[in-house]
Amino acid sequence: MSGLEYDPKNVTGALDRREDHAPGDEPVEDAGHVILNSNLGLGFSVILTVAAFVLANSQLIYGPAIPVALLVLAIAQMGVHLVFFLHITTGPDNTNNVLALAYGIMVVGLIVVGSIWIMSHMGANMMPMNQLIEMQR
Amino acid sequence: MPVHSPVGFYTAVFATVFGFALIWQIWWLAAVGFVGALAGFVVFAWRDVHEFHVPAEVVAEVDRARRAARQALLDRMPDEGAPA
Amino acid sequence: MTDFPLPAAAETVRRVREDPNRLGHRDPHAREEIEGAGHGTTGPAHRRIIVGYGFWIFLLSDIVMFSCFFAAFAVQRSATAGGPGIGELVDMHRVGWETGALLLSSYTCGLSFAATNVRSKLWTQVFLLVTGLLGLIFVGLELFEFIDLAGRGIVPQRSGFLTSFFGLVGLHGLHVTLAGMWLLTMMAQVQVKGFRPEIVHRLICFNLFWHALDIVWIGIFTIVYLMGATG
Repeated sequence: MSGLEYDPKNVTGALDRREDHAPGDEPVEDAGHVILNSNLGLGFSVILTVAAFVLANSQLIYGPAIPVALLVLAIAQMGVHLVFFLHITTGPDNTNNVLALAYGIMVVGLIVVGSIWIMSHMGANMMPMNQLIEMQR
Repeated sequence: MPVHSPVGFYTAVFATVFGFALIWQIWWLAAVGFVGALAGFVVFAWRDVHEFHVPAEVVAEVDRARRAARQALLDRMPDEGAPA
Repeated sequence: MTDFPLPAAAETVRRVREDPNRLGHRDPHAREEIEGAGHGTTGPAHRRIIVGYGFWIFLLSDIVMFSCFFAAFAVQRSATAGGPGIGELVDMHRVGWETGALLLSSYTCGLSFAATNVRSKLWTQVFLLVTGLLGLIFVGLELFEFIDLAGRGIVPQRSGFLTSFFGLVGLHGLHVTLAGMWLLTMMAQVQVKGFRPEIVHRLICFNLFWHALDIVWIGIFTIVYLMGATG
């Protein structure tokens, strides 16, 4: 079996490493990108954090909607952290990380949602605790 | 391949001691266990040689020898399939 | 063979004939390291990428462990056994300071990695030190919070809810403390050994760990403290 006649690294001639570029997908020795990403990450995170604290402590939005809004802000901030600080990008070097992250999120979702679901159903199907205790007196 | 090292075992011993001491609230022993485990971690982190290379030729050699041994065993077996 | 690629069909036919399983056969006698993304002729991925991936997997297992504690907290939220609920535990100012400290420490950790990329020992150490100090402020604030609560009789043994609360927040604080010890070790290693490849890889792992802790803290301060104060 002979080697391929073209160099695979040069096939995508126009989309070389500098032109096709995702945020955080920096080559190894480039500090400027890291600093830019850190600044952007900090900026967005501060905005989202302040928004969360302000929302929680004021009457700006409809009361029962506050937990949902906080959750949305939290997920957004986690996304900001993942992209700008942890460099989860769609670059070819990162595919494995994205897959692993997706699997981790699935497991976390299963555990949290599953636990809450199961325990709330269990609580709904069981006798209240004080009655249980009365039965044992 | 990573270099062989007993540090993992030593650290685990100290960590076990640490856990035991925490359960029984023996604080001096907990401190000893924690310091020992941390020391194991730092000592291991300070190593200069952390791996050795296994060249492809060595892997091929070992694999060839193994396959030859298996083939010899298969050749010795009668046709019904039971070992000779 | 010519320099420009063959017409697509002929190229495909040739490739299928020579390399039907798309292995991209590497030259078996190549002695030098071929750097690449791990596909075929470009060999295994650069070690920096592999180390990062391995540590990611560990980080995800850690996050799964945190999610178990989160699930326990969510389930136990109303199991106060007549004791204090989440509303009595939240001190919004302190949580604000803790969040700010941890967020800034994440920022300075990223800056220290930028300094590592340009191989500046001074700035790496400076930013690592600032990161450590901010982490210390966070842990100190949390410790004082726990001492305050204990002074009011709010201890993990009081109720299932409090057990899960102290378990979750305490586990995170423990992680930050251990990361602080790791940070001290890394500062010592950078000082003594400089920027060898292994040290840079460990700094990458430390960066990942510290940022993951901040991500977990986002979950904690939102779900435990903010939702607790408003829910």
